Amino acid sequence: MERDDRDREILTRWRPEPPTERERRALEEVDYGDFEIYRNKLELVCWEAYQTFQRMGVSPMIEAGDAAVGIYTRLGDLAVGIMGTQLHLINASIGLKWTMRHFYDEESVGIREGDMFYVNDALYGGIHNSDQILYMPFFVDGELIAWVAAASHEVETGAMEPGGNPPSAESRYDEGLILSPIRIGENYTLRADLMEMMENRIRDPRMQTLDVKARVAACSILERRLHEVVEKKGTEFVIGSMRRMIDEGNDAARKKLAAMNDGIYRSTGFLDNAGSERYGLIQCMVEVEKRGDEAHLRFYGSPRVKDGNFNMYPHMMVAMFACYMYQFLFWELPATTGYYTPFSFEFQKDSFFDADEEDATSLGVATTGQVISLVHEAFEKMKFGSPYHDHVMAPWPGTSSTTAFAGLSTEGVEFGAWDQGQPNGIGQGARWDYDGLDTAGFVWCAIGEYLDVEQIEENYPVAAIFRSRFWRDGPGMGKFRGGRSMTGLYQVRGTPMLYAVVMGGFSGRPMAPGLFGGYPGRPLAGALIRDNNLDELIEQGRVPTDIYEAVERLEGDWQFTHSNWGEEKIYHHDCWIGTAPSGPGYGDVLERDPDLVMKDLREDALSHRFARDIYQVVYDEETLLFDAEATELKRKEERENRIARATAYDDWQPGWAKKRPPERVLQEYGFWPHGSAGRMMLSVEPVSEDYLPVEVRDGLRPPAAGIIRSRDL
Amino acid sequence: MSRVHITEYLDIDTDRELWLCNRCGQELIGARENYKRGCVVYERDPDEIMPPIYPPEKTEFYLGVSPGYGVFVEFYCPGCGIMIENELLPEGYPPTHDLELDIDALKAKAEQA
Repeated sequence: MERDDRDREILTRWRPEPPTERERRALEEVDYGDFEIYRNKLELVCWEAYQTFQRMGVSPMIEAGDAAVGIYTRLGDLAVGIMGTQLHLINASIGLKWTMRHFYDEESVGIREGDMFYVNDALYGGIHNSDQILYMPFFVDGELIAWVAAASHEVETGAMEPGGNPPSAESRYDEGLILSPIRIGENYTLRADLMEMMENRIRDPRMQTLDVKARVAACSILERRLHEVVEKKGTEFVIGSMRRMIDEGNDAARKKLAAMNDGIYRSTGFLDNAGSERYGLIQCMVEVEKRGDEAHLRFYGSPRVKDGNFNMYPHMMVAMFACYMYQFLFWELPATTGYYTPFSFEFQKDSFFDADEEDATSLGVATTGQVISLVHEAFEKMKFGSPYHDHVMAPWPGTSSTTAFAGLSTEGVEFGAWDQGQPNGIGQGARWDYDGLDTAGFVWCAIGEYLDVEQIEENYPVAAIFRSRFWRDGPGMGKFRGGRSMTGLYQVRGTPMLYAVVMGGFSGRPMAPGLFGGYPGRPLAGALIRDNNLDELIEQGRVPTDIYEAVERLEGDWQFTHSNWGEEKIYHHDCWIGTAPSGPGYGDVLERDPDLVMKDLREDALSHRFARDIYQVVYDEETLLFDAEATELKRKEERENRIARATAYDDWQPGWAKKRPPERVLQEYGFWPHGSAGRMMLSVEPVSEDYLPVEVRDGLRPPAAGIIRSRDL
Repeated sequence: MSRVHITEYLDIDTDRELWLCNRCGQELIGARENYKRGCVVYERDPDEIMPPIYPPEKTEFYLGVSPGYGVFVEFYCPGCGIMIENELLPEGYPPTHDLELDIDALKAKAEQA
């Protein structure tokens, strides 16, 4: 069901708006040398705000740096930012535009200097309600010039299950605190009544308030520093520079795209769940058509899933594209919305990209994190044959999973949390010339930190038995292997009971493909171990130090879980296992340098069986010295064996086409094999050039002042 | 012959419009076709690459590929046996036509170069 009073058109305005007359005039005031100096200065300002945000926040996501801050034009387009979490900067833009369109002339609200607005509803420009954005207008002499914003993820939203993204949710009404744009502060002061409303609604009120204040601090720094630049260089310089940042982004993006080979690049993937206990194959097809200096992305072949926390809105996937684009396509360029200009997007109607307004979508972000690996694969295949060949790498392994838990903390206060080491402990995809980075962050944020164990153990009644050993045999194998990830064993200690959910992952199969013959990394899965013998193992000095020892030594009542699993109660001394995905590999395993295979063995990254049987290296298991000549011979034999046991494609295909997966994995699939391909497509383009009346767009009249307060009379 | 490097293991001969193996030069198929049709194909049990860590008799989610969720389809060069690409496909699912280059544009680019 769609309500006609919601503004869905604003969700299509992710591209920069055309320049205003004021911006065109201001551009002429910008000297190129000064522009370069002050562009760098504004970037440094954003770093200052970002680091303050990180140090003040208490949500594990903010503490780890999975956050973003940005400076936006008056019309709401990102001029410069620091990320952190790239997609936040894009969806913040939509929230700002919604505010400009609906509050600028609205007498009961208005936009005033010192206002603080807040949004976390995907239907108003958010991504999911755990991602929360605070934004403030920037005024000079009473004129609205720009906006500043700070965004990050809260690990608790007062939803039906703890953790902010409830796997069992069936509608938006199960997801907790969801705010359309709301002014939560004025005159540079947070309103106590609205903070009370937020605190009252969620399980961890302390975290909510401290994190909102951290956002205010970040925005205040941006605002103060912008005033300093205005004082030094003038208003016109700031307006013109912001526009030039966007325009240069557009020019740079087009130049890079034009250098790549034209054509159509495709990737197909299969998700394995549509929410808790809804497991099975779900197809997704991605097509990138690149012509000249533009690229068109199509997403199709997928069903829409009823009543699961899985679907998304198209702008969520458009925003997710930022995570690929800023990390891998325009990695060397400063962040602006300008890079989006050459891209267009199309989604199949009635697919999981086209959620109903009533749907639960908080785990739709996990869906975007899976699908982006297909976008990544398609673009990297484009990059290989281009001048940017030496930056090719296999995708992130898809989304991360995490085990969220809630209860009473060691200090006796309500909390909701998780170990951010689990989502940020992902291995990156292998590079074209070396292995992937170990525990590199996650798909949404490549600079997120792997927090120390104290972040968990000092704050929560949980002991991390192990969490700092890489997952042996986890990464995708190849000429270069994927980055290694973490696995963890945790135990509830010092509290009678916690609530826990496992959210966001994939367990039936890996999501992200390897590149050019590399294999994907392993999928994820959790386990709860109740009535266990861990205390005895501790007494015996046989504490498990990795997942293999945990499986071997821990005795008890094992309950194996998919990595998207609804609420469980866990009790004092219960244990659980958490896993993070390792990166996909690159290239043929038979081309891996035997030296690197021996290095993997020395570093406990690999088991002998794979060194011997998959990498086909001849070596001494004691000394780890390999025989180069024998290895070359063995690999030559294996290549000959491959040809001997394989079948010509045209002979193989008819038999293959007759096969079909078992019905139990096709419950959510749609029509086999093409799913829902061929249905109508939904283009995500604005219907009008201007989203504001001309006088508002060009600043010919000021915003409404809002309700007149008694002291103003 | 004008040979353009397209992927780790694939070139295109723009004069003859052919996909070639980058390692051994084997001619695979016309450059306007899906290169996979010029390969030899092998279906690999995913347990060989990701053997179970949790006991498969107790859970289908054993940190490998669950039964029914896919097998590796490996595409080798018929000349030298290098693995050009692989896909983890549900049984019976058609392989992806992942590279459909604009050959005319590629030829024009090669001529300019």
